[in-house]
Amino acid sequence: MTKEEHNMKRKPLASIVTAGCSIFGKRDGLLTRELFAEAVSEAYGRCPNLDPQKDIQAVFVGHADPRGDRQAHMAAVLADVAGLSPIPSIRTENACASSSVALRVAVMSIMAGFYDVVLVGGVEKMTLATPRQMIDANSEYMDFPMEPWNGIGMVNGFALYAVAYMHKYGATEEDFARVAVKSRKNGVLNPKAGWANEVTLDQVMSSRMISYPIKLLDSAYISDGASCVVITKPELARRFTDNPVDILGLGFCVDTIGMYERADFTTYTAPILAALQAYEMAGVKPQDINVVEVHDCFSFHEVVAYEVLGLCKPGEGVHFFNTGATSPGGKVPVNTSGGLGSKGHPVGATGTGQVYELYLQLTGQAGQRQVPNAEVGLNHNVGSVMVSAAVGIYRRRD
Amino acid sequence: MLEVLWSLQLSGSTGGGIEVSEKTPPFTIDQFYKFVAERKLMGARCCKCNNVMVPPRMLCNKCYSQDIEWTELRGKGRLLTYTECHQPIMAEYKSMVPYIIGVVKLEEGPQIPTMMRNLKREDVQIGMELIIDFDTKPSPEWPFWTHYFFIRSHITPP
Repeated sequence: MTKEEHNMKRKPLASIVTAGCSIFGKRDGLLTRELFAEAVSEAYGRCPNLDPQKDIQAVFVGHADPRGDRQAHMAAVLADVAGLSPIPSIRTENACASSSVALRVAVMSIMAGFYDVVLVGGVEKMTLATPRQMIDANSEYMDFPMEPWNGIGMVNGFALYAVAYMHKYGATEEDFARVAVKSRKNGVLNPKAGWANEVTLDQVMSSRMISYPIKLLDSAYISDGASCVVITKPELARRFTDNPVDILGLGFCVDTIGMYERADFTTYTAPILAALQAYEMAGVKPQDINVVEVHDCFSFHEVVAYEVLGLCKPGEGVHFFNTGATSPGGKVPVNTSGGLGSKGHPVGATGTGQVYELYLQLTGQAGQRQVPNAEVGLNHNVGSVMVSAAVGIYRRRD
Repeated sequence: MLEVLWSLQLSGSTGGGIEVSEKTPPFTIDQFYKFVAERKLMGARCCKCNNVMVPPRMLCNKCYSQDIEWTELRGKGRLLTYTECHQPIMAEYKSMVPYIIGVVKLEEGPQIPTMMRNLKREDVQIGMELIIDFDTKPSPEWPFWTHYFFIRSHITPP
């Protein structure tokens, strides 16, 4: 049996035939549509066998906030700039997990037999707002009447979880800061990471406190960006590329909008359920994963992600990091892209942005960031404070 | 036909199976904050399964009953987790920074998010007892609500 025959025994849900990503950062002079054009141009350029007009049958895109550049109806805007109008096109919004959800419904549409070839992606333009306006806008991803109305915003919500974690397991601010140092060092190698900057532990520890224990250099930047993939029915992938990446499993779960209703602040219901679903669907275990992109909106959340994903036991995330397992050269490098701390977090673009990095890793195109022989990758994308959670598992075809 | 629709609207029937009596305040967040303006912490209690909901809901999120009633809560509880905020989430809070926020588990069961006042980070401990107090000045813009907040429970509010 060939490797391909072996890998196709458990049929993938869909296959990625190409991917593209804009530079994430402060992109003055570029509107949402132009950020997406950058991503789509790369995706089309990497895939000469794809004839977009003839082959692509639908578009699914994630976009969270029309106030970004005063442009809504992004389904129409992005299909248009991708040169595909008129075409079915849908925009999804699940806060920071918007484009992971776009990917999920796109895969469902292929599995249901509606479409064979689909463009999926996401975009966000965030740097036009003043910091004040942006903070106000972010409060809307919380439970407005109970959380922002009582002074609790996104950073605060994650900080509440961080304090509970520190209280239960004895973790310190330095423990989280070391993770930030690792990821930002990775980001320097990523041409798409417009906020990439290498930092020292001292710099992280002395950076401005936002909400105890989360400081500025523990946090992702507000950013502009766009990302996309083209996915197909698995049996059609070879028509377009010699190096398809199969989507083996997708998990997704949405918890209460108010994080205050949660029974326990040291467990993460939606992310864990999403991870369990993805592993089961993919038929793989945590030890089979070679490369991971996690939602490090805050350095603390990367530590939590290790535990959510079963890479280590609950409470052992800091220890796991300290073994070097998730650093370059380790057993399972995490955030080789530099993560949200280096790319920033253009909300709608983050999910498929993670998939873009995994696509490069699994097709051997990650250059200096390449994890040797990466075969199976995983992304973890969370919206609001443990509210929407999506996990995807991907494998190179051969 | 038009007369029937008009009289339905006047009688307050929503047509969705939820009867709103004129005597029972609706189980809405807006009403919750009307009670807060009267210095009352009110929960919505499901008459079928006793689930107490803060904020209130019209539909029990445990058993789906619509047989709900208001219940006054004592406003006492223990701190589950907290943080100290240095960057205000809304412009209105700028003058209060840094402030402590947390989640309180009320004696009656529900959990409630809150600002905590008259406390420094060094004074805060997970598990500490807190008691509610109220700001009665409504905000000048929508949603026009007032605020509750929590303080250390050995201090009795006036």
